[in-house]
Amino acid sequence: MHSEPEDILIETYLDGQLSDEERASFEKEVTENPALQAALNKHLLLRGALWETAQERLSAKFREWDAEEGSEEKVVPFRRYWTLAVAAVVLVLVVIGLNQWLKPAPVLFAYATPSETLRRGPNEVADSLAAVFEAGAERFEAKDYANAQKIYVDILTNASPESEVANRALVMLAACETQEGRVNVGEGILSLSRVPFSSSYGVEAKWNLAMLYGLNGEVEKAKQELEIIAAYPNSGKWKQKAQDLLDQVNQ
Amino acid sequence: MAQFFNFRRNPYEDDDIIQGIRGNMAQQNRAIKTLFKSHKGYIHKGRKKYGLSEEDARFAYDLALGQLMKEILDDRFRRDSLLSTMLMTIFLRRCIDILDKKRTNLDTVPIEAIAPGLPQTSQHFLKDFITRDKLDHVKKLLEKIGEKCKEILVMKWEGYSDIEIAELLGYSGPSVVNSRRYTCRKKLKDLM
Repeated sequence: MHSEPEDILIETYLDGQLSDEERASFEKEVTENPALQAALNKHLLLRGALWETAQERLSAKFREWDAEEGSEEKVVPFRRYWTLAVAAVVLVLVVIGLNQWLKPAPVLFAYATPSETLRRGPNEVADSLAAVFEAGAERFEAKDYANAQKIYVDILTNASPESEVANRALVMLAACETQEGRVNVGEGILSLSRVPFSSSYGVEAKWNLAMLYGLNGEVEKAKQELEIIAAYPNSGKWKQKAQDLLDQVNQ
Repeated sequence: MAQFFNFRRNPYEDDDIIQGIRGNMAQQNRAIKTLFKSHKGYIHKGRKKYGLSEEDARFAYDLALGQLMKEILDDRFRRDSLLSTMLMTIFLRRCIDILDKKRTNLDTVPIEAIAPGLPQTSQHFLKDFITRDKLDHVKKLLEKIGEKCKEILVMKWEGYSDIEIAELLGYSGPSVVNSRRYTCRKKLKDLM
């Protein structure tokens, strides 16, 4: 059993076993030598025909498996999902039962949209960032939260980290993260925890942080934040709200 | 439930599939069936991402599975990615091929599938060598060299070992299969 040297060279080339130089020189020769080109073409066609035949057989096998799967699905469509179906029915019954016997629990934690002053209030910052903040507010009010978020991230990148505008952007960023359909409580908590309590909007940020902790099931942390607000003399309208909520949570 | 979490497939499961594909016929069949069934969601992705028909997306999926299987058999599958990632990469390339085929009306075989060891520049160099009419002609010739000859050539491409081919086709041993393969290739090349 002997192969021609040319056949061996072509197969070695097609297997990617030639060095870069050898490959380049082989390809150059192919373009200049019609006989070599024809021989290479034969090898390619042979490989192509074998590949396509093998692939057709494989596809036929796959269609058989598809058919098997199809018939399984037709015969036992319920078996696959029966646990889910039973769980759903039980859940519905439990909810109906509970509604019959219990009054719905009051919603304690609800994320508040940042106040009008925070969203659009007087801008104490340089003109360029004030305009950007305004653009963010417009996007937020148009419920275009994704683009509003981009604007607030921009502000955070460009403003001094301790500045008021950066703190307001953090609160707004958390607000964007928690709007309908975009709930990402973890990210919201991360943003709000960065707002210092001493800043102009620190109390509002802390209130919303407490709400997010509550929504996230971290009630103890929520209580801690509320206690700080309730204990702080300059918490304004938030002081009483925090105390009322604490009373409800502690009941 | 596991099928909903395929993106988290455990590499140990990959090991089982790779071993299966490299195993005997029954093991190979089982392994490829597992792979085929557990990633069928790609067909839907191909339809959604590239606007392919169900038939075209299925075809791309078949091609991708065939190519991945061949890469495993030829020991070219490096373990730097999960099988699912590799399959998805090949599948998306095959979807693009199908779109190209529709756009250019050129229906041929992907060079990447028949000469996978070649660098991309060389694959590009070869891309116009195979035409559909010539390919169909060789496939017809493949039918003319005799059933056993055809089987010897195709089964090798499918990844069967010479021992298995000998058992299935009734030859006395793998060396006979090897020598017959040479004769069959020559027979086919002479007809071309």
